[in-house]
Amino acid sequence: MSDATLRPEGMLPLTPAVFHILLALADSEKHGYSIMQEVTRITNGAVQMGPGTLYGTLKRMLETRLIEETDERPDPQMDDERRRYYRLTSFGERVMHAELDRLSVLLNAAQSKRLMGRT
Amino acid sequence: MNPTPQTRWIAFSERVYRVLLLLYPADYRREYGWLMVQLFRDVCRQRYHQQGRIGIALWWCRTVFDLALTVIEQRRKVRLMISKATFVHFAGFMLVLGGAFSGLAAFSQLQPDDHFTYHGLYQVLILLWAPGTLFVGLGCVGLALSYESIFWAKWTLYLCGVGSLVMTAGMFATFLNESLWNLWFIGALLHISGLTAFGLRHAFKPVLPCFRGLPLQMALGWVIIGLGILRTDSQTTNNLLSFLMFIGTGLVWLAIGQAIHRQRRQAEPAIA
Repeated sequence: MSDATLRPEGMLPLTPAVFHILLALADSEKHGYSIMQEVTRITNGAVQMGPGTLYGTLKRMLETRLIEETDERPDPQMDDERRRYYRLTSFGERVMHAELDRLSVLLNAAQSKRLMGRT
Repeated sequence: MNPTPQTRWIAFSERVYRVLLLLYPADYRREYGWLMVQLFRDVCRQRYHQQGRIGIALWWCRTVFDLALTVIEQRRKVRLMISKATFVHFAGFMLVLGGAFSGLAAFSQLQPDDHFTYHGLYQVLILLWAPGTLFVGLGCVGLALSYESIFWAKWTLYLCGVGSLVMTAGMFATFLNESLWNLWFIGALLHISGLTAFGLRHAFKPVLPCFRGLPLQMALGWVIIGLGILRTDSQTTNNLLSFLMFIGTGLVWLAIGQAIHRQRRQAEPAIA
């Protein structure tokens, strides 16, 4: 089955770990450590994944074709160790957008009930 | 060059973490173990740089918690995959067994008088029906699991399987209380409904390795013979129709099971 025939709605709602990784990979391909740093950055430090959670989630995302491995190469900004890189598939992108749409509908509903900014 | 306190602490942490990774299933460790160690080491360096030894200690707290949760998750996945794979692998064999037991049990229907009680050899034969429906039920569930990506095949075969298992439960329940034979009847209805739906679709879009029209013929056979049994007053005709219905079912499941079992065995060397 090609990515084009897969339905994003079947994957929703996403778990927080999957959604955070999709967001982290949205702009460029990354290796494990940089995904972890990006997730910490976009959540203002609220989410810090451990190695087991990160690679367990990446494995699941590879199986469901949300992401794909690109290659193994060193990161010039770090050291000369080989690192495995991951990027979004077209299906992964569609799922991320579907989840963002779903969340924005909820956000709008919360705003219309004046529930935002109470904490 | 002497190791600095930083490299000593990080190297020691890494060694301990490598040992702890043995808790994960071997396949998972082979694929992701080195990446997890690499990530763990990267974060150790970062934390030591930011907070010194306290940073590494805090990272250890998080890692141990993460490890405990994810080891359980990965181990549970492996166990589920093994039990599912076993089910799928033996689906054909279970259908063969179920078909054979059901086929033999069909001869109990040739007892000359009515079938409220069975005697002698007929009593032994009717008892074979319970393992017959049990194995057919398990075989159907195994088939449903192997066709998981084909929506209609999965759910109609589940219905067949569950129906068959309810028939088994109905037979045991009847031993305890004869009025509970209705449970067997409900199971038979579920089984036939699943089989009819599966047979209808299978006739146009086959998934089994052979026998394009057979499941539908079997389902129709049940309906036609069942109606015949309801309409006849003759005990002899009734017994003969029951025999035909059950021997037919047994032989069909036997043939389907044998074809699937052969297909799986042929596929095995290619997979290995």
